[in-house]
Amino acid sequence: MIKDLGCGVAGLALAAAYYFLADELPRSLLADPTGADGLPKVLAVMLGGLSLLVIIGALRRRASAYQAPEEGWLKHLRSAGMLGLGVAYLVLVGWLGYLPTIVLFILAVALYAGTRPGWRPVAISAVGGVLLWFTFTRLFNIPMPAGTLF
Amino acid sequence: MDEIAIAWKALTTTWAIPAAFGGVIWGIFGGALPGISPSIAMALLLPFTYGLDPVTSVVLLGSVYVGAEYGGSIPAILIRTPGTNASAATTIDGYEMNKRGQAGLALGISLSAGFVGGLFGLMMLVLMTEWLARVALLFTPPAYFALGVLGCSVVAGLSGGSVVKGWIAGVLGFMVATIGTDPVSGVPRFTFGSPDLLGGIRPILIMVGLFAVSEILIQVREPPWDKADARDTRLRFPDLKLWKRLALPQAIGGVVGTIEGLTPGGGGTIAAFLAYNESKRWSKYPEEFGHGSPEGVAAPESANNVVTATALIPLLSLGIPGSNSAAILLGGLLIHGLSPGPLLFERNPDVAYGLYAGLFVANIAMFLIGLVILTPCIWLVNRPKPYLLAFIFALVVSGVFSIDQSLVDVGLVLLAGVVGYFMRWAEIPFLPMVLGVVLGYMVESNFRRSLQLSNGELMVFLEDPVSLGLLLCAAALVTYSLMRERRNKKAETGVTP
Amino acid sequence: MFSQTKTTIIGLATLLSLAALPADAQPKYPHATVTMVTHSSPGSGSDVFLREMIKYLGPEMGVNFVVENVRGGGGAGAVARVAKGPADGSIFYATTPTYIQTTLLSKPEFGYDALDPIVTVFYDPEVIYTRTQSPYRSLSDAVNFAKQNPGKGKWGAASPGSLERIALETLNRMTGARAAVVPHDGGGDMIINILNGTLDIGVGELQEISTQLQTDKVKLLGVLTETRISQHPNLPTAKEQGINLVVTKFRGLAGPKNLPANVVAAWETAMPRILANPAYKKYYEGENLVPVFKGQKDSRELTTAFAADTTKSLRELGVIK
Repeated sequence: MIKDLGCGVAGLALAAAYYFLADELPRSLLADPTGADGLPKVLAVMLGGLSLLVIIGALRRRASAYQAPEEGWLKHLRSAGMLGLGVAYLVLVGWLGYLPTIVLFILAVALYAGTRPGWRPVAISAVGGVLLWFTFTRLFNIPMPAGTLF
Repeated sequence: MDEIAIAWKALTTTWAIPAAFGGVIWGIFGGALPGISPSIAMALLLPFTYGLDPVTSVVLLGSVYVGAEYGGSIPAILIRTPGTNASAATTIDGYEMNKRGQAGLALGISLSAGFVGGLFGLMMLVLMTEWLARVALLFTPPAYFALGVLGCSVVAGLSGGSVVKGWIAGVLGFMVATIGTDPVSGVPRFTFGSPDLLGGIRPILIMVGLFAVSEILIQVREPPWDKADARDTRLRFPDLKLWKRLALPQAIGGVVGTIEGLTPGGGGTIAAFLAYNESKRWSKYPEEFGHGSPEGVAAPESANNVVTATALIPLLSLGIPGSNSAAILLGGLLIHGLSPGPLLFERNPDVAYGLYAGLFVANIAMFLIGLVILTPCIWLVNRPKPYLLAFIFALVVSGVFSIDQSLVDVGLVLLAGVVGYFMRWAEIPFLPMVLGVVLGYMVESNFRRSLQLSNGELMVFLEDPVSLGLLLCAAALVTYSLMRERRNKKAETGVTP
Repeated sequence: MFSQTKTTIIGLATLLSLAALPADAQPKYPHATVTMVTHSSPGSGSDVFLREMIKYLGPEMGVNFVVENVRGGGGAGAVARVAKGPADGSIFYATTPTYIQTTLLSKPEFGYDALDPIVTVFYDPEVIYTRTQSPYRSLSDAVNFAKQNPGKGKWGAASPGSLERIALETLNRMTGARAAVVPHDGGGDMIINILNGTLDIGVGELQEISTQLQTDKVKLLGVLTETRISQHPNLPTAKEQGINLVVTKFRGLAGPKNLPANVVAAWETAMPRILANPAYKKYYEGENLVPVFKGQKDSRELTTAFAADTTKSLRELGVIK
């Protein structure tokens, strides 16, 4: 199974990287015998071992010639686009400030998820954005990001 | 009987009753917003309590706590977004019930389980404080470690399909928990020089990312809703038959919630997960867990509402705030020049008993308000899918920011969402990972503290009676589930390949 | 009747003089609203402290104060917020040693040296305590036990990289006790371990254990200040017990660099006045805070010296390079 194989290899890579980082941790005189790197190293070894098990399992099943149907990559692309909108929010909000960004964000996500363009989505995102803004900044008094642009 | 008279007087001569209702409304609202934790919701009201009389202000704060712990379950069930840490366990079966068109029933179960749990916790608080305070003192570092191990002992049971993948998820959770300041030496671990990671990654970020963001990413590529069952757009309560079935998880939630409320650092989250696990273990229908079991909603919701009362036990008996929320309540007492602990009962009995009575009113208020708001809530999430996705996503990025006013957290949630997406693709279960994130720090720090105290003697875990008991419990439970699994497998052989 | 009139007159006079005071002695503060940033979460010790302080500062300075809790990053977020703020006296950071510790441990973009101290207001006395049933009667008892039984002492501190932790490690080094110094998660869990006898001694701020002191669950063994504190005049300092250990946990204010001189002067005038206010005095003495007013010059010196000291100990202990 491609899935399990990929997952196993990713696990191995993560385990190796994590072990390496754990080994690099500064040694402090305040540490106990277990040390800051004690548990992380155990975890890395465990993850490595478990990943190997997954890989072995996958190879075995492959030998029995079972092939899982793979879904299209287009699907993943569509999810990646949604994630991209999230990242765009993250970048823009520090620049435009919370209120304009959240309105744009709601509009963009709604359109991306399949709403027909028009006045309706614009109005809904404007009202919704203001509502969120009011809830967080006025009601809960939380300093939401202010833009640097204005 | 004097106490009841004092409590009655405290309730009727102050604004305590309106405060209880107001506090619960505020709490439910805050708890339902991901990122506004019970303690933040309480803290935001703290400045307003300066001008109130002491009884009203402690009742207000206590009621916010009650409301918020309950409120977290609403988005957990309706939009797969745990509003609070403690409601993450509810997400699993609550959202599955919702997907099967049983949103109204799931909300009814969580409301009634929370209500019963809250009253049970209050009973423990009122009647057993003194005795339970002694139990709290039994928890030494080895005992905490053992408690964490008991929690972890269920990873295998939570894994669904592949046990190996379940363990992988658990290890990943522990890895996340190691990020931040080392609990003993204080060196920063895996922080990559970022001060934002020094305090560690909050479990809520992982939960919201894994559950909510990954769901958003997946939903956007699916065609519009297979419309939820139109019949169940109203709040529904369990019938008698279901009540009988829910009695056991409710009781498990009560016991677990009482113990977790006592132990500083334990709190509602661990209680909810332990209750979920134990209910699964003792259930007649364990196979339904993860696929919309009503027991999987009742147990965690019972447990985390029990904690709203029992978390006050260390505060009122020993003067020790056992949780962030209790610390805020402590702040509220201090502002009025009151000191918590046993002296409160001697010097200001009106405040102490007024708080008890106020919490009672708050639980009733929670139930009544739930009756009113839940049906509109169901209506709200039955909107066209693009808008629903847009508002959930907007709520997530806004709410997560509000925890620490940190955009790094928003980035982390997106990252956790990607990890969740990948895990779903690779068919790795979430739950063991969440459990690892929640328990990892507690297990590691107390393991190391115990060894510090015993000069490296591992025997310390067997010498401490509480630790020994809990470890034996864990061992027995693991053996029991292994045997049961084997039996089930034998029974299933031949039926499914 | 007579006496009542007299009181009224005196009252009026006081009122008049109070009203006249700001105009006479102090020029108007350049801002109507001033933001006080703290790294602690709402309802926690420092937050309550700050909110209590502005109750008295507001009328004194004729300013509306707003508390802003910028959590995250072990204080680094709050420091950055102020460091990037306008240097005109409209925003300040409530300092505690935490911001220096965080700077040294994690080297954030904006460290303690990105701010300029304005005033130092209080010391939080640190005490060593144990449970009432414990055989120890003084700090020297506990230290002697640890000395005679190397590796057997069990000492508790609130968190891993805290000032208190470093103090106990220094004590270990000074006495050769090799006691286990067990850090905790903030304090509540440590007090449980003191009460149930898991730990021999603990160290913390006096106000953290006020409830346990009132109910006789814990007793004090020594205070880590230069001189005895007024709230517990019978409690000897560590120095008096032959242990040269002093922990300076200060509370003060810092602002962005290059603040105008009139702003600094306004603070240096206002602080000593509210410290003398009897109502405020009642509050802070109840909270076991020791007033130590220091102006900008002394506060800068204090900060520099503190950072140098902490750097030295952290290096000696191998926490930083």
